[in-house]
Amino acid sequence: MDAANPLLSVDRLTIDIGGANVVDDVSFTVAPGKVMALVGESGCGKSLTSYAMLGLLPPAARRTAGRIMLENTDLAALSERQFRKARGKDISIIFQEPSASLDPLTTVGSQIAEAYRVHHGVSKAEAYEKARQMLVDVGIPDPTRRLDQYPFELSGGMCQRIMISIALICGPRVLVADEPTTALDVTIQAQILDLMKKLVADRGTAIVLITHDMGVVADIADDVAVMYAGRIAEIAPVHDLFRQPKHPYTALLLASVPKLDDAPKADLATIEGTVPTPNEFGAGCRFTERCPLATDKCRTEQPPLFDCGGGHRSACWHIDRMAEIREVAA
Amino acid sequence: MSEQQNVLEIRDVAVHFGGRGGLLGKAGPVVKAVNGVDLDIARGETVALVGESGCGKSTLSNTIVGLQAPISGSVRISGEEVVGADRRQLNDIRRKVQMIFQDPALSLDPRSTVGATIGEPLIVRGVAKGRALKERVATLLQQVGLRPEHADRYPHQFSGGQRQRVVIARALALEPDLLICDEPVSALDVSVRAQILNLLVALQKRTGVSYLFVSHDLGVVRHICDRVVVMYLGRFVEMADRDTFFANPKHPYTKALMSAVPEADPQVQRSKERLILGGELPSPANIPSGCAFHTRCPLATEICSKERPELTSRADGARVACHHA
Repeated sequence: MDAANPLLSVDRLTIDIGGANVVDDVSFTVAPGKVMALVGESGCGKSLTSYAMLGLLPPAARRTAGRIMLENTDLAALSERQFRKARGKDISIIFQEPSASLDPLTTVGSQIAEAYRVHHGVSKAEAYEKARQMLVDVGIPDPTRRLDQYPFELSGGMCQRIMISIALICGPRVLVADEPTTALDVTIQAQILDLMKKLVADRGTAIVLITHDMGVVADIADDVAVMYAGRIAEIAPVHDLFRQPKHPYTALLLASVPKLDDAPKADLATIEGTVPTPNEFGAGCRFTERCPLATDKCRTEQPPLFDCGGGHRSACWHIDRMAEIREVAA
Repeated sequence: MSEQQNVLEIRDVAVHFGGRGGLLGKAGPVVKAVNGVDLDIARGETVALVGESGCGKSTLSNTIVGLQAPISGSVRISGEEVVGADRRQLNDIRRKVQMIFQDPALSLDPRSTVGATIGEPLIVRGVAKGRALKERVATLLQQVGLRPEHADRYPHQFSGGQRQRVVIARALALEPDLLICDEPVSALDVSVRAQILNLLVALQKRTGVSYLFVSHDLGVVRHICDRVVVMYLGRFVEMADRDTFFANPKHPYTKALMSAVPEADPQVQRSKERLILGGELPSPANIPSGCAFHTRCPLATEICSKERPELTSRADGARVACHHA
């Protein structure tokens, strides 16, 4: 991780819904041209964290602490008016279901051009030309014809390319991608992931990738933050995380994915129980109830993120006992 | 029924949609969703049906349970013909084949307790009532890893994984021979997926039920299946037993699928050979001539756009429909 020169740094972000810290003390940084993956199961707070970066928190959610620094600007402190200027230009987002994000009654060309005209005082013709170039960049064949089409005339993969065009046309430095390929078929997913890699490399865009798919993480991420019940359980460069997970949750999560060399129909490692709901959060580590390593200390004391060196940090009191987890998982 | 008898036998099934009485009396396009498909599933066997959206796998599943009539061909479940069966016959056949879907929340009635949901097929079929029904429901709940007292709860009181267990319990209530699992773990969180896969394997060992496992996740397929069938635009393009299939995939589409599914290991994933398909799945209303895959195929030559390759057997037992594989 390029900690020395981060573009975006989320610093001790805490978000409250109904008195519970659904995002609790979350910190990470992303450097230009890098992909930071936020991984976790439903309800772990990964989407809320990313929505906070764009001022898109639902009304019930409130940021109670922390900063989101995009270079020298604290995004979390912006007013809605200021956010309107920042969104699209400094930071953009794409969502899981592209057809739900596009206006069905407007041509895709006008939707892309609009995104440009909001931030640049140019003529319609000029904005359309920009949009056409953008379609070329995201690999859409026959762009001139496509500009005049409506979303329903395009496939899911095409619509996601349109979304990426809208998100990137003003050259934002940060792109938040919330499960960008989950709704797509695998061969189309591969195309979109390749496109994202290319854009990162060509434009130096920093990507915050929200996903639950360890395969997608393995493909595209530089760094990974594993979230559990609103907290970061472990954060590490991607190779370190997969090779040597230092949090029981990560280790079990990785072990529960079927591998090439597994015996067919052998029992997969499972994580017993379910994720606690916010009103079940205790004083200690939130993974305690499902953790094979849990002790009394875990129940009462929240572990801090211990530094394991090389940018690898884990919030577990028992990092030295990880070998036991590997036995459980094997 | 003899032990050797196949649970499912499909012969030359074709399912087409549309074509007549379209808007303003004009004939609409014919969507050839499934074409010339043959498939057998043996007792206790798990066959994976792999393909992308629009390839016809859901249409085929619906045809097997008699929800969709084919225009030609035969579908036999435990020896009994589904195609052309009347309502009463279909009713009998449907005890032997059940289906579970991707999203358990959409498969359960939110206003019924799970006990009532699981018991309903037993009541409808007159299998059990009263105390016996309650006991049977309790046993089913335990079989899927839930507790008997869960019978009084409603779906919203369960997590996604638990709801899928309820759906499985209901599907197993009538002790079917064949369970069609349509993406049964895709909507579930990763840690819960493993629990449901383990459950499906354990239930099969105990009851001998066969699975037709529809999925796009080759990691899951490799884990749970005995045989794999790949479908593209309504036709099977490759079928092989699990080890042959994964050790030596032959059809270029199969190879592309394997290359597209990201491995959960950055080292493997980033060093593997990539074969990224251009373009998109053509519309099933306008299937390309010859081999339907030739528009996206890296190996395509002239013959591919003219002649449709048949499924032919290879030395290792795999069957592949490709001129060049």
